[in-house]
Amino acid sequence: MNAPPLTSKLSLGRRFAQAVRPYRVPLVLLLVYACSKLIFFQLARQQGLLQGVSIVSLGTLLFGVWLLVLRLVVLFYVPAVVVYRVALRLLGGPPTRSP
Amino acid sequence: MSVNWKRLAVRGLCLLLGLSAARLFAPWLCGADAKAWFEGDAALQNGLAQELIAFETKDDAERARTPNARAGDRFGGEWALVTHQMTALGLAQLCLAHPELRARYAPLASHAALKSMLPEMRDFGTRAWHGEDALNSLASSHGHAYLAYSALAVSMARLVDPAFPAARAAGHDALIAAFERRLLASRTGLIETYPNEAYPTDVAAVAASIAVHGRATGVDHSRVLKHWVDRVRTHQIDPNSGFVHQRMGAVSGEPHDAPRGSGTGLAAYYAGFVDRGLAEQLAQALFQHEKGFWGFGAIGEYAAGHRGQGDVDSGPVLFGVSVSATGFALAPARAFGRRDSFEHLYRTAALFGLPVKFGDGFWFASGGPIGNALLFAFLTSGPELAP
Repeated sequence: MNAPPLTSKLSLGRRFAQAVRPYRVPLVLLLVYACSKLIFFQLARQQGLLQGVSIVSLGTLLFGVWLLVLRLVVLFYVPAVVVYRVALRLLGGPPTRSP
Repeated sequence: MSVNWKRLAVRGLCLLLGLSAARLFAPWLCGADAKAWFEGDAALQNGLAQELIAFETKDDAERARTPNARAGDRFGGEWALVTHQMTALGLAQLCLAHPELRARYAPLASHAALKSMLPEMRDFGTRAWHGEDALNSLASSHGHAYLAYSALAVSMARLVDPAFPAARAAGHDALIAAFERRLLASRTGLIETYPNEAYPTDVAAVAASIAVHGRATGVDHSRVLKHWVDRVRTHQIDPNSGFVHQRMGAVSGEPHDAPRGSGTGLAAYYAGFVDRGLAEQLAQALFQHEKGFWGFGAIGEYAAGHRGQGDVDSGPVLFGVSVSATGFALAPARAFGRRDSFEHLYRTAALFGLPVKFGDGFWFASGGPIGNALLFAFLTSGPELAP
């Protein structure tokens, strides 16, 4: 069986990039959230949001606040914007920057 | 300028779909484990138990390294005490729910419970009583009700651990006898936590420690428990809201603070060890103050006609609901089978608690040891209820 020619692979990649383009902000948000959650979890376990049981590490606490804001965005904004854009595409309108 | 109505309608429809997606996705994701916790899923319970045991081990090592370390202030001491106490309660509740786990968890429950009795854990109370140590002043009329949190943990450890050390049991018996005497002498059913400060929630812990001591040892405490239950109903519950007053005068029984959800939530959990009827009454008041938004539930902190910003007991109060009242209410919601409320409250706890599963472990990333210990006790509540 022959492999698909390079030009066809490139055009497939270009089409994928084009399809994903309207969703790049939600995707970046998801990626940043996933990385932040992983880092926070490691910090909270090793270094401690609460060192011992009661001493709050200010740096970890601030990072926790940042993560909570990201979590709210990822849980509420991302699904809303993704479904809005998919629906708009399916119902015939051009993808827009924001709902 | 003409309006493209069709285009506008399509966008409106898409917006509606987008909002619906957010409305469904967020509560679905946050509530993914709610059903499993409510039904007592062993993997989740053991996952959180393992992490708290690991914390206790780490804490032991830290203690061995810095034996003279002391909590810096009253709240630091309270947090340390409550962390070990709630870990012990959660482990003991698992032993009651799953007798096959008793050999594994009962000794660890005893260890955490005894740690909550260490002098450094009660330093904050000793300082508040101007140097009077609770365990060296059992004949005194001073309440020292804060130590009931540890006393309850030890009562539960004695209930599940047949190998609980006898020498420590004798000291615990003496503490329970002192609490019983002080409580019977109080016409308001209140004893002081700190000088001139009585907290109905702390006294609920006193009653719970006495009740479970009775179950563990066979000693009859029914007179003092009935005395307490009656006084809670006549002196400590606000008739309008059903909440208990957060702080009161121990002798006068005058409210020194508003009737509040955080105090009532924890009191409902503790009352469950003593008297199901009273615990259900408090839980009823709690769930009458439940507020919901998009499938997330939370408990109002202040009874109608009262306002405030919250404090160390409640955590921040936002839109009238508090972090503590919401978390505490998980216990009566599970214990009394309020599945819907449990699910709604759990979603909120998960939204802000950032639960993470890794291997066999489970941990609320933003909770720290105290938040996880509290949630462990509340999410496994039920087996501890008075018969």
